[in-house]
Amino acid sequence: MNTNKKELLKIENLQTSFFTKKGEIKAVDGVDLTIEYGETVGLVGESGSGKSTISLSIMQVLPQPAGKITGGKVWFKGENLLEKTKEDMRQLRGDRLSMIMQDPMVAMNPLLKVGYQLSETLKYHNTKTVSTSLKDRCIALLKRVKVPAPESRINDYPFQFSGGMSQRALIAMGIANNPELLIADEPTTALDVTIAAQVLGLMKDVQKETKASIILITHDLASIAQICSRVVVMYAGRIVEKAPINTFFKKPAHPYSVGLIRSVPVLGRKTDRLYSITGQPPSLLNPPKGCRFAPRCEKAYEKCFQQYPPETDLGGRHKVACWLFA
Amino acid sequence: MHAGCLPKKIMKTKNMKNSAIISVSNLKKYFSVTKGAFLKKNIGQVKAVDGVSFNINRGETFGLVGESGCGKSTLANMLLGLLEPTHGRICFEGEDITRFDKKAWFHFRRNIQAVFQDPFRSLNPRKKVKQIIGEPLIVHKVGSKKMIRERVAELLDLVGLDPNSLESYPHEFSGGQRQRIAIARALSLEPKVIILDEPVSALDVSIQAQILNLLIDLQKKLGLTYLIISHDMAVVEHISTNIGVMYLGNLVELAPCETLYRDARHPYTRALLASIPVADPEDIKSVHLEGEVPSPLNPPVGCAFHPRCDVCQQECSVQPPRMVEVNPGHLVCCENFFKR
Repeated sequence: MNTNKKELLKIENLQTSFFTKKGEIKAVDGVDLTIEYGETVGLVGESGSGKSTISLSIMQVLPQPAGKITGGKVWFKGENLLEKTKEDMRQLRGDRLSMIMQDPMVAMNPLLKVGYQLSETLKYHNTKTVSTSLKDRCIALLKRVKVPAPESRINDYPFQFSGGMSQRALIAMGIANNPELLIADEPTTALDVTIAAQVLGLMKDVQKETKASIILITHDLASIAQICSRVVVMYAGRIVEKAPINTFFKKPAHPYSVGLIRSVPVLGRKTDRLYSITGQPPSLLNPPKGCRFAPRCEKAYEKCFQQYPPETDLGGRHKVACWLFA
Repeated sequence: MHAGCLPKKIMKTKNMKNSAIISVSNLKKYFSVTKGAFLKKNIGQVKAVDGVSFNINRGETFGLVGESGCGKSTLANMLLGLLEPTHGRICFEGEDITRFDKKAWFHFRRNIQAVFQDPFRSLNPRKKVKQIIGEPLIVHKVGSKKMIRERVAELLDLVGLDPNSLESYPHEFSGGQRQRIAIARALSLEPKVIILDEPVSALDVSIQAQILNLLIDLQKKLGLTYLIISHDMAVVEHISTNIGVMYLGNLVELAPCETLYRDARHPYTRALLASIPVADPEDIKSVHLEGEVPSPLNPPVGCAFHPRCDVCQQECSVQPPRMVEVNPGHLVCCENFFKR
């Protein structure tokens, strides 16, 4: 058990697998992660690196029957979420823990009015509230996420909302009960750049207002740079680097992080060739024996292919799993 | 609105200097909106593309940027012959392709090919790689079975895939590899122009760079001309020679790549450039563009951008602005520009 009062969420050696016809896929393979109160942490990684699986494991909404948590602990305010009953988890989800899903056009039920879907969250966790004040609270929530004309908008169906508006409505649902931990899974990928900038701005404001801790899951380094205070980089089911935001962009340690930062085209800094990491991420059905990034790494040497590197503390909350630093 | 209309003089001089492979003039596409199931009543028009003119020179890359719904993809579909323009001309090497009939299009289509956004949907999951890449060759009756097989293997090698993966199915490949297959398919008939509709936006960052580099290499090797459509300004800037910025069916600014970044004149382009999140924690962006793109069914009177514009003047809401050339090759569609 942790005794640190600053820690809201502490994940210890989390292992989540998907059992498929082809065999066990270890989507998350031994992850340690701590989220402090009021902190915004960015979780980056390529598709299939296990970043979404971590969030689904915290919420315990893994796709069934394939997904299973096979080991580890998830401490939330000193309680292990993995030992909770289904009913206890249901009470926590949407209340203390909440999640903003990826695709705003798919995440809402097309047959129900936006106002109704918004009030569902409120109703479930505040059974004593009367319906008239529920409506007022819905309007206030939509107003808070800057949806214009919320009084009439609560009677609209999701298809009448644009992508940006739907995402705002989803954020409203996420913060309806003032959660302590908000997980946002790629909140801006489905949106236009200008609208994405607006949504990121909104997330920042929400964080300031509610003091909630946010986990932002994305593969877009730009949105991480804009709103996060810390970055966690994942590769093939494991965390390879954890760093404060400024350290990460100035002095990334892990070769994968370095490659990732270098391969983003930067406006106004046109080069002849973009740096690119060669090769593909490994299959998680049978991952490489040593460091999982070694086959694509320029600096890899013998040891990298034989043994997985331990996590090395570089000081100032900067940790890296790489033999170059061990 | 005739805002996108290019003065004839400029077009002529451009034609003389470089050989324009594609020249689009005053292109329009209106979709009529109907109501009712049987008696289809016309209730309005969506001006998806409303008077756009530009030239693409041989061997260059023309980038088209704008928010969703601004007409970028409609424009691309017209160039591919998938949509018939309401008005205007598209000339390919001096020939007006909008007047082509079905048969002429069949033969012509070898010249313009496309790569689409989502490589998970653009490849038929039931077909093998050799069938996917070889299909255009079979349709156009290029050589024998053996020759086609050889050509497909050659194409796979060209895009950096294993030439022995002829018998594989798309699901055996990752997103980046699938996009390479889509590129190989587009290259199979040796086209002169390739239209890239958001070619990297569905891919991961590290894979994005690989595909962009591949596209640049292929262009150098094969002398291709690209039209790239993207909402990612950084991607477009990296690969393009000229960039056109679209807003609500109109081209609002057209400039060589370096000029556009350094010296954007249209308030929309400026706001767009300023609001893009950058991967630098010391460069935190504030929101520069409030609101959303207005409905094209009922566009604002005057300049389409004026409700969101921060330097909007009174006349902006009355008169649509004209396209003016501020510097050679740099065109801006904003009245306000003169007064500042």
